[in-house]
Amino acid sequence: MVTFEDVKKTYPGGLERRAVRALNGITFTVEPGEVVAYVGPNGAGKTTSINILLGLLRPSSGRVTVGGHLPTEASTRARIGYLPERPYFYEQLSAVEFLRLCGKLSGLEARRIAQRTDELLDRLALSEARHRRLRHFSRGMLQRIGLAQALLHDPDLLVLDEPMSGLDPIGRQLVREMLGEAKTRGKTVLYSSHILADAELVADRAAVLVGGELKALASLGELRAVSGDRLELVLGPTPRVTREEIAQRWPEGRAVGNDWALSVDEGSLQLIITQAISRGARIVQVLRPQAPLEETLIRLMRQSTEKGGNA
Amino acid sequence: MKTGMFAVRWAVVPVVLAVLLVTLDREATGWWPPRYTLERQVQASPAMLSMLSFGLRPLVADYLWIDAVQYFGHTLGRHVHDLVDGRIVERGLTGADVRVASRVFHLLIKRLLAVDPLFVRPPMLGAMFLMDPHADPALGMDILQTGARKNPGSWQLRLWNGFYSYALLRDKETARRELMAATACPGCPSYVADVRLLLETAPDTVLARVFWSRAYGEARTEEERVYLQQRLDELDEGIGGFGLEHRHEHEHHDHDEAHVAPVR
Amino acid sequence: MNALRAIAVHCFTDILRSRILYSIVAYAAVVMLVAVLAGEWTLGEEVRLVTDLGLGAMLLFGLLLVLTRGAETISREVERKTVRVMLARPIERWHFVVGSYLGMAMVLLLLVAALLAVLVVALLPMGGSPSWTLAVASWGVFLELLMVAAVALLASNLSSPVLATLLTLLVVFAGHLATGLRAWMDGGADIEHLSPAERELAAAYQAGPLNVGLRLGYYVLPIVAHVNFKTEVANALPVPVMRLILGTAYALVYSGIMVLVATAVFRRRDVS
Repeated sequence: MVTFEDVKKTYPGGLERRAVRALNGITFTVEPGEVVAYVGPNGAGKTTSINILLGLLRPSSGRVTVGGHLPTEASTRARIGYLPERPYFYEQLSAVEFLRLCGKLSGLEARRIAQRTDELLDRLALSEARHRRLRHFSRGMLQRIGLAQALLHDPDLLVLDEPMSGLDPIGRQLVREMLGEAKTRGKTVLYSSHILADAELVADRAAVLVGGELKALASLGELRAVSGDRLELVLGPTPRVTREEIAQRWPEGRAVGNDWALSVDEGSLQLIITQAISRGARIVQVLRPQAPLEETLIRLMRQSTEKGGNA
Repeated sequence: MKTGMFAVRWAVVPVVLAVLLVTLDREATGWWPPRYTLERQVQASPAMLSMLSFGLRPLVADYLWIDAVQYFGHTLGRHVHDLVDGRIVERGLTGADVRVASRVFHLLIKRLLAVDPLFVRPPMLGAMFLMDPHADPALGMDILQTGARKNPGSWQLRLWNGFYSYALLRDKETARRELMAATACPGCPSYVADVRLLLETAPDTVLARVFWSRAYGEARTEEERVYLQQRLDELDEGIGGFGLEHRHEHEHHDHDEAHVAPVR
Repeated sequence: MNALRAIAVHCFTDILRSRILYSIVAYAAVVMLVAVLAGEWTLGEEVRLVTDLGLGAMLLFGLLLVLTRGAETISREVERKTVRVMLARPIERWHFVVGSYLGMAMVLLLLVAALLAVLVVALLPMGGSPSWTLAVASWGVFLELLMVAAVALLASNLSSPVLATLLTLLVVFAGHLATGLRAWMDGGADIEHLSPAERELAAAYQAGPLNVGLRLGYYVLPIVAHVNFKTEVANALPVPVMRLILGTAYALVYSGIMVLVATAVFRRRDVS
């Protein structure tokens, strides 16, 4: 559905600023019907790549296609629904007027616009505010009206830039449900977010972008497994040794109740167990933790920084 | 904050209006020094004024006309004619002052004509005022001739130029030519043809009466009517000719140019 | 075409929702005030004065609108990022540029029509009758504003709102100046009225580079004199039909070229 082929983007410099390379050859594909979380720290190039996907920016090299077509073609964008990172909408318009404008720009007929407007405002709990000007909307309401305009023309591909931003828990739940529905209906979703916990709940795969490069593209399970080369060893006190003495020997660990947990790699596990037993400690458990996506992201970022530093 | 800005914005309106009104009536209030002194210094040339008019030449010409009218009202107009108990009393400036004021007024009108040569009434009325017994008929003729030359399609300027050419300068040939040209101009009323015929056949008093009566009928302002009524009264009182001949002697008097600041 | 119409209507209503009505009321107040006072000032030329002032104010208010809104048509949308929502939809970029321009043009037409109505109402009690020439002069004001709006659109595409406003103002002023300057230096103005300094400038012009520069500028700048019929209305003269047609054609072609260039620039532009 969406293909990035060695996409590079450099923002040209000027008199007082240097040229900035925002994307450094990213390549990946989002399959039809897939929900892909697009994650990365600030400045990773997420919004730049989304802008290229929408035809707002032209890549310096490489190309992006949606269903085999360039996004600079209007017909391609007819298949895309886009929620911007911040809901910059025409604040002098009411919710209904704004959706009517969006519908007209998407080429929908008036009757269809009215029908979809009613449906979406109702679904997003905005019916009562339908005639209120957007300038009087709260941030969360703006986020919801943004989602409504993205879904208005029933697009095949949803590009959501931080969709949970500004939403209260109920709003987040609502959006998750709507994304679930979209997924059920076979829509493709590219979901950019900093709130990784939300992404984890809805995404099939995650693309991790760091410093303009794609660091990982895998299912969430695979990503978590990437962090599985480390194990958690939990040591308990005995009459022979106290927790404080264990902590003094392995200060890099952390307290878990009365016990002391250590993160160790598989290679050194045997040695540490032997040392612990010889000192009289009790082996409580050894487990392979499921790393949250956030931890994966942080680890990839650190790796990226170290590589940059070594280079 | 917004309320404050709103209040400030609306507070500006009465202030601007007040300044405007005071400026308009500044001499009456005495808050401002009088502007219409006898001598004038005019800085911008008509060419420059036209160029900087932002496409609003007629409006600039209007301003110049108002300026000229105000100058006239505060100099020649105020002191030459006063209406006292329904009678016209002539209270003149000194001879030198009249010449200075006439020359300035003449130059103000000429400057206006350089900006908008198609403006009819300034040369027409300007000439009429300068033809006054205490003003300067030669300068009046000059304004009329300039106006008619710059705006040959105006029957009014042709008519007045023709009439004064005959009445003042006794130049019958020019008068005939101008009146003929006036009848050919668009919008020219039929009485102009009558005036042309009278020029050839009738005595001066008849020609004068027809002309002054028609002009009186077309007058738009009280100032014009006062002047024209005076001409008609002179005819009634039996003063012969056009009531203008006695001014002819002023025609070649020396202008006291030392009193006039540079006016372009 | 639907998208073009939607954007034009959107821009139109967007501008109307701003405080344009206040300016119309202010205009009406100024014209009425002058109408009341004019009689004393003009020795019977109050109709002419109010007409000239009315047309001048029409131009001024139109220019204010174009400079405040037209010169930020694109840059404001880009700065506020509202343009992203529009361009992410299946519209061509030229739809956005041309639609914005058409929206502004509709507002200008409405503004000029409304102000013309106010002017006619102010003139009626003074004995001034609504004339064809007055309507033609107002049409000329509209055409002038149309050209300025096209320049503003292009400027808005090239720089920030403040710079675009300044640039537009500069171009419009130069356009006015170019006409007068050329007429003046070509001897169209009365040489007798030139000051010595002005005569020196005229001589420098005749000498060369200034001449070439001015002639070049004459073709690039909006020469609003082609659509200026104010002298005719002030002096109750008819406007030749051919002049009206050619003036209208000039304004439309000039504006069209400016919009075309603005579209070409915007098509190549990154919108982030």
